[in-house]
Amino acid sequence: MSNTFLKLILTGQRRRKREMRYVSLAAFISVLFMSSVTLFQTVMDRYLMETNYQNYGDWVLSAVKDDTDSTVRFSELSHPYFTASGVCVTGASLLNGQNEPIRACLGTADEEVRQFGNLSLYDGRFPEAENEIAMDLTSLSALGYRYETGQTIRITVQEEDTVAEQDYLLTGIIKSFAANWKHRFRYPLPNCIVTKEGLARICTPRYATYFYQLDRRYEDLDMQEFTSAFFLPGHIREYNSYVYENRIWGSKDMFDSVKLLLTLIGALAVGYLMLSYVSQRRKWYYRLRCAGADKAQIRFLIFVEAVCGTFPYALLGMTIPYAVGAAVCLGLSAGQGLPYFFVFHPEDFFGQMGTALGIILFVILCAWMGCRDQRLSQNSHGVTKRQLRRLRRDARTHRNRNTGRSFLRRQRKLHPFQYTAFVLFSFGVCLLLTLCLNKLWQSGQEYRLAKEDLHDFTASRQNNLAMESPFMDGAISANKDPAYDMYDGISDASGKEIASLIGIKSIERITMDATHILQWQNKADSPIEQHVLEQYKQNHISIPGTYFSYYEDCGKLLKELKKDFELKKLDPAAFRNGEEIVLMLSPYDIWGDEADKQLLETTIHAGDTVEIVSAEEQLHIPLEIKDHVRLPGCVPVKVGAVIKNPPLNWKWRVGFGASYAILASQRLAERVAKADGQTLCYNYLNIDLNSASSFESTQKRLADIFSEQSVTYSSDSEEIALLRHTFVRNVCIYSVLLITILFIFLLLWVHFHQLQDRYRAKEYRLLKQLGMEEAFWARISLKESFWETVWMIICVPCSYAMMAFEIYADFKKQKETVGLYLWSDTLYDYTGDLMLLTRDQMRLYTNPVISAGFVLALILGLAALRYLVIRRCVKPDASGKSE
Amino acid sequence: MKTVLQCKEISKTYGSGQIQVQALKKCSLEFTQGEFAAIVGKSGSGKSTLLKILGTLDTPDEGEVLLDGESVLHLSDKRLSKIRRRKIGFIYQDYSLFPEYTAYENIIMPIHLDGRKEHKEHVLEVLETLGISGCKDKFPSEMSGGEQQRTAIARALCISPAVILADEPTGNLDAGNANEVVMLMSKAARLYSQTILMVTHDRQMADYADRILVIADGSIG
Repeated sequence: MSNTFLKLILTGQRRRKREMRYVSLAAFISVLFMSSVTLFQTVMDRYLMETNYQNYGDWVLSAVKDDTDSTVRFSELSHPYFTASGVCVTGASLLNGQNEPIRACLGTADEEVRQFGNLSLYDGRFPEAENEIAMDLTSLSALGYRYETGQTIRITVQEEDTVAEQDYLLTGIIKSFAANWKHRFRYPLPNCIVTKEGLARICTPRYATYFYQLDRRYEDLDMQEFTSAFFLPGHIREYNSYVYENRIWGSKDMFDSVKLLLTLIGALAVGYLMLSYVSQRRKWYYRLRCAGADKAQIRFLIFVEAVCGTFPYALLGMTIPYAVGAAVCLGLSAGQGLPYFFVFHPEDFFGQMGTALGIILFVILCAWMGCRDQRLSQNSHGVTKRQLRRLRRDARTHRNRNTGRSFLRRQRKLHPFQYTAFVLFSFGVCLLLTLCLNKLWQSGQEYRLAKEDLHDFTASRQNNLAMESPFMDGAISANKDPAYDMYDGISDASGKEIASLIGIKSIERITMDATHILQWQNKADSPIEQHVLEQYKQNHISIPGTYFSYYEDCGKLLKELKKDFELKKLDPAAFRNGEEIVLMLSPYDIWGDEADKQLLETTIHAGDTVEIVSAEEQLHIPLEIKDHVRLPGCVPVKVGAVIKNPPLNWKWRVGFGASYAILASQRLAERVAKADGQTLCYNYLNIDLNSASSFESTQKRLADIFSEQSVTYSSDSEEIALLRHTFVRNVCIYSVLLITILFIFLLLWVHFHQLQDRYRAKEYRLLKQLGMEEAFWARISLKESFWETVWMIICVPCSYAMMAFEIYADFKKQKETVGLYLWSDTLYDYTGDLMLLTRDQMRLYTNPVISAGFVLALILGLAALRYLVIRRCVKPDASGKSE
Repeated sequence: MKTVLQCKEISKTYGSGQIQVQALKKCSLEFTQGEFAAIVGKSGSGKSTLLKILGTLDTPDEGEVLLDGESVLHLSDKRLSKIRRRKIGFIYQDYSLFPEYTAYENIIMPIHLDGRKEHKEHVLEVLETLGISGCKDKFPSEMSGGEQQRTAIARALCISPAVILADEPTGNLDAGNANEVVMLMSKAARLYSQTILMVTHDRQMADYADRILVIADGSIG
C-alpha cells in the first residue's frame, strides 16, 4: 500500500476530528468500564481477604487433640499446600468469685499462632514469665477486674475435685481472637494466655488446637471441597469459613459470573460502537470505490481507521485502571496497616484486552466481508436490501397514524442488531447494578440483625433473694436464688456518672423485677394455679415464674413488639402512661410423672384488669421473701395485649422460665413503687458507645464503675466493632462499585445516543422542517428510552434468582461437607431443609420494593437523559445555526 | 389577488467580530395566491437564507415576515411548528425523504404529524397528477431521482399549504426530469391555487415561473 494512500487516510481521520473523537472516546470508556470494574472487584476481593486474615486468623483448618477423651482421634495434618502450623493449648475454664464457671478459658498460644493469626493487644505485651498473663476484655469483665495492665489477677479454676488458685500479673489486654475466630465447636480457644509453665502452675492441659496456614497461592480453590477431604469420623476439625467464604459477591462462582458478565458487557459495548461506525461509513467506502480505490485499498482503509481510532484508546482504557488501582491499594494498605495487596493478574488483563481487540478485529472482518462491490452499491442508497425487506414487512403489517411510534419502529427495523446489542448491554449493566444494590441491602440487614441484640455494655444487678415457703406438713422450703429486685439496683450516683462519660451514645434503662406477681379475678380457675395448688397439697412447692420488665424507652419497645405481633387492642398512650401492660404467656412445664406435659394460662384475656401485688401474696401458697416482708401495694392495670407462647428471641429477652412475663413502662414501675412505699432502682442497663468513645476514657471507666458497684457486666464492643467494620467495608465496596458502574454506564449511554443522533440528525432536521413540535421530541425520547430500558425490570427477578441460587448452592455444599442444621424463622425451629432456609435468607436479605424502585428510577432517569440528549441534537436547528 | 407571503426589509448577517457575511440586505418581497415565482442568483447570493427565513426556519436580524397577513417573527416554537405543518411546504434539492418510509408514508407524514387523518383520494389524485401513482408503495431507495423529487413535491402539495418553498428542486435531476418537475410544479400551482417560490440558479428553469426575481449579494434586483 502506498505511503500516499496511508497519508490520505490519516489526513481524512484528522479532518473528521469530531466523529473520530466520539468513536475513540466511546472505545476508551467501554474498555475502561470493563477493565476498571473487573479490576476493582479483584482488588476489593484481595482487600477483603487481607482484612479477613486480620480478623479471623490466617489459618484454613484446625484440629483438636483431646488429652482427656480417648474417643477423639487426632493426627497431625500434612499437605503440600500448608505453609505453617501453630498450636493453642487450652486448660481449665475460669471460675468467678462465687466459684461458678464463666465462659473463659486459660491456655497458651505459640509464636506461630500469634504470627499468622495476627493476635494483637490493646495494651501491653504477651506473657513471657510463668507468673504473667494476658487476658481479653470479656474475661476481665467476667472476673470483675478493670481494664488495667500491671494489676494482679487471681485466677481460679476447677482442677478435678479441687479448686486451684494462682495470682498472675496482667501484662497485656488482648483483642479477643477467641471470639472473633468463631471457633464455635465444643472446644473453645483460650481467652487468657499464659506461658506453658504458667499453665502448668495451675492446671493440666485439657486439649490442644492445632492450626494450619494455607499457602496463599491456593486460596482461590474451592475451599469447602478441599477441606472436606480432611473431615474424618472421630476427628474434630474445623474449617475457617469466615476467611475463605467471606469474599466479594459472596462466593468465587458469583465472582467469576460477574467477571464474565462484565466482559460480555464490554464486548457488547465495543461491538455496538464499531458496528454503528462501520455501517455508517459504508457510503463513504462506496464513494471511494467509485473514485477508483481497489478492494485492497478499501480493506486497508477500514483496518487503519478502526485500528487508529480505537486500539490506542482501548489500550489506554485497559492500563489506566491498573495504574490507579495500584496507587489506591498502596494508600489503603499504608492507611490500614495491611500488607500491599495489589496483585496483577495477567490472565485477566490479557483476557480482557484480547476480548476488546478481538471484537474490534471481528468487526473489521465483518466490514471487509461487507465491502464487496455489490454490497457497497446497495449501501449507496443508505438502505440495504435486507433492511428494505424488513421495512416492507413492517409497512405491510403496521399502518397506524402515530408518527413517533412508527419512526422509532422503523429505526429499530433499520438497525435491529445494534438495537439488540444496546438492549443487552443495558440489561447486563442493570443486572450488575441490581446485584450491587442487593448486596448493599444484604450487608445492611446482616449488620442490623446481628447488632439488634448486641450492646457495647450490658450491666445488670440481681439480688440473692431468700424465699421461704412452708409445706402442708409445716416443713419449710428455703431458697436463696439470684433474682431481679426493682428496689435494688444501680445507684443514682453511678447512673449519673455513666451518663456523663465521654463516648456514651445511649443508655437503655430497664427495671426488671421478680418480687411481684399478678392477681386476677378468676385466677382460681387457672389450670396452672390449680396444678400448683394440687402440688402444694402433696407437699411439693412449685411456683410459676412471673417476671416484670419496665422500660424507660417505650417507643422502641412498642416498635419492636408491633414488628413481631398484632397488638390491635393495645392503646400505646395508655401503655406509656403505665395504665396498660403486654402479657406474654409461656407454657408451664410439668415435671415428675407427667413429664413433657405443658399447661398454658387461659384465664387472662386482653382487656382484663389484673393487679400487681407482692409475690408474697400468692393465693394458695404462703410465701415469704426475706428482703421484702409483705409489700403493701396493690396496683390495678389493664391487660392491653396477651401474647401466647412467644418466639424464642422474646423468651430469652423477658426471662426464659417465665410463665407470666409482663412488659410495661417505667411509669407503671413508679406507681408500683409508690404503692409499696419503696424507692425504685434501675437494675438493667444497655449502653451503646459512640465514635467519641475510647478504650481508656470510656470502656475502662465503665468497667471500673461496674466493678465498684458489684454489678455484673459484659461487653460486646469488640463484636460490634467487627460487625461495624464488616458493614462499612461492604457498603464502601458495593457502593463504590455501584457508583462506578452507574457513572461509566451513563457516560456510555449518553455517548452512544449522541453518536446515534449524529447519524439521525438529517431526519430530525427534516421532521423539524415538516413542523414537528418540541413536545414530539419529549415523546419520542421517552418512547425510545422506554423500549430500550423496559427490559431492565427483568433484572430484579434475575438478580434474585442469582442470589437464591448462590445461597442454595452454599447451603447445599455445607450440607454435603459439614452438615446443615440452622434456625428457620418460618418454622421457628432448626432445620436442614435447603429450600426453606434459602427462602428464609432471601426474605431477610432482599427487598423487592427497593430493587424495583431503583430500576424504575433508573429507567425514568435514562428517559430524562435521552430527552436532554435528543433536545441538544435538534435544538440548534431551530434557529438554523447548525446550517 | 390576495397577498400570501410578504417580507419587509429583512436583513441577515452571519458570523461575528471581524468575519461577518451579510447574507441579506433589506429585502422586501410580496407573493400572491397561486403565483409561481422563481428567485435566481449565483451561489452565495443569499437565496437559501431568504428561503429559510420565509419558511420560518431562521429569523432575520431586521425586518418582518408576514404569512397570510400575520407576522411570524415573534411566535413561539409551537406556533411556528403548526404554521410549517399547515401553511408551508418544503421541497429540497436532495429530496429529503425518509429512507425507511414508503412514498405514500412519506407523503402523508406531515398530515399525521398534524394529528389529522389523510384524505386518501386526495393523496392518490396528487400522485396521479405527478405521475408517480405506481411508486406509492416503493421506498426511496427503489425510486429514481425524478420519482423521489415528485414524491417530495407530492408531500408538499398534500397538506394544501399556502406557500411551497422549493430550494433548487431540480439540482439533482437530468434535463428531462428537471423540465418535467418544474412543469408539474407550475401546473400544481395553478391547479391547487398554491403559491410556489422556487430558488434556482438555472435560468432555464426559472423561465417556467410567472415572475423571476434576481438576487445578488443579498439584495433583490
